[in-house]
Amino acid sequence: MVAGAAALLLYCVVCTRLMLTGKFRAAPVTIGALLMWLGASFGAWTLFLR
Amino acid sequence: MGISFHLSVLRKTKWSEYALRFLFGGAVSVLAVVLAKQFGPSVGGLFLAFPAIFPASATLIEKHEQQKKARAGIQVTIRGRQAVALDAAGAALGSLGLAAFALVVWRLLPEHGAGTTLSAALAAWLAVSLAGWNIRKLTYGEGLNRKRVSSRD
Repeated sequence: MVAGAAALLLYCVVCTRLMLTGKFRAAPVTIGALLMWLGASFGAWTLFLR
Repeated sequence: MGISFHLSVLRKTKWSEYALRFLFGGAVSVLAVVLAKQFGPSVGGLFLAFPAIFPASATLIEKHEQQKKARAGIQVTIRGRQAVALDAAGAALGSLGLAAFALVVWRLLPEHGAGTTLSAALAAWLAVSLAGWNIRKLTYGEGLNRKRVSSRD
């Protein structure tokens, strides 16, 4: 859950930055960034928890 | 901007929109349990921090802000996108609190009861989230949120 929360922080920061530009709609940014969350959380899990 | 409760905001959201959020949140909770049984608790734990309801909430926030502007006769606006950005910034602070919650449960649960551990973890979540909010306010100032949302309308 700690690794997931760290990935969630990254997800939120990326969504904030992309949405602040005003160039993108919410759905593609927030749904597309889920892939990044999956990559970051499983990456952290592989590195520290496996 | 201070922290306050406005119950009237609850009436602005349709029941179907609440249902959508509960549906996504519930589905991911079930997925976390299934994954924990299949691959172990550490994999299941990852999904307890999955942003399940954020995409649905963000899309609805954007739609509501656009509808508000359309009622005022403004068709093209980025206010909805910036409102979503601020929501995501708040969620980032919440994710720090979530990490504190998880750390407390991880460290305390093997030696203490569930009630004591969860109470301490909730207190940690609240303390870290509010500290993050106040640090952000001190760093960026009081009026940043309002300025950011209104300056590019």
